[in-house]
Amino acid sequence: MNDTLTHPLVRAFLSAVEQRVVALPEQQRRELLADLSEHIEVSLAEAGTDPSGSEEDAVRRVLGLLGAPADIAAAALAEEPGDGAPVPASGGHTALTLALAVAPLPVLLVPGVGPVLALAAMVTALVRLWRSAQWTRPEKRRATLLLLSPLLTVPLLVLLGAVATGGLSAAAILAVVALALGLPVVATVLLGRSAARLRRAHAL
Amino acid sequence: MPGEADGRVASQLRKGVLEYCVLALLRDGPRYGVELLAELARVEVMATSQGTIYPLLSRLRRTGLADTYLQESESGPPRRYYTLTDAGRAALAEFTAHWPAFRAAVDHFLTPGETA
Repeated sequence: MNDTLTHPLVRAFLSAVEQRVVALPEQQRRELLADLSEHIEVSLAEAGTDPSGSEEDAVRRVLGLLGAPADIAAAALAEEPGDGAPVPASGGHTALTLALAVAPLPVLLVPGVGPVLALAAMVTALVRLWRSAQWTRPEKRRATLLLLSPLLTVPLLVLLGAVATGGLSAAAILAVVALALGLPVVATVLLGRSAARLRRAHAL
Repeated sequence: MPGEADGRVASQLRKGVLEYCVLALLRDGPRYGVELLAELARVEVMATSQGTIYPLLSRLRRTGLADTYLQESESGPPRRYYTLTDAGRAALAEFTAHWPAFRAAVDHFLTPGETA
């Protein structure tokens, strides 16, 4: 009974589905794989009375009717609008979020209101990032860490600069900001690429 | 054959009504997964890759419209039977009540000369 599930074709099929539904919550993922396994077992048991054809043919027929692993995974992800399947957002909406995400450091250099504007831009960018349905949770976590990295890299670079040169000129401060901007820029490039990929996939 | 050639229109149409067809198939009594899918596949426009129905069945169970239980079988492994809950019956009744007006509205727009 259980040995039908150890058939190489069945194992390959189930693992192909499993690989494509990693974004599903644990329980739904297990349920889907259990449902498919049961379906295969039952279908093969019911086809078992057919004396013509080999076991291999029967397995191929059952898997063929189940459909492509990619289609099954897509149907499962489509049932999960929240965490599972990201939903694309407009290019304009995304561009504004990304612009706000890189704004804080350059804005910081504005005399007087700089720090207030930088803080406002950072908070708005993070709120828009986490509210958006177009990025997955791991993507959001990674982007948040990279965007907040200047809190660590700026003091560090300033300290290094001060120790090395015994005081910081205006040019050195600009250089520090430019350096610290690296990681937030990486974050926005990654977010932008993933958003564009998602829009393209849905436009197909 | 699973309707792949009929493409986008059929698949879009199916999306909205498939779960009510499944609920309707359970109206007269419990059915197990393979049996349910075979019934769906008998009607060509509802035929789709069988595996894509399981996520739908899983949602029906999760949202309390259907329930499942295992029952031993004479041949092979035990079967997981799907059965309608009261909430599922109510959802089916609601759909059944809305459907004629919906169908008439679509016909109204599709029939030449009906919209002046």
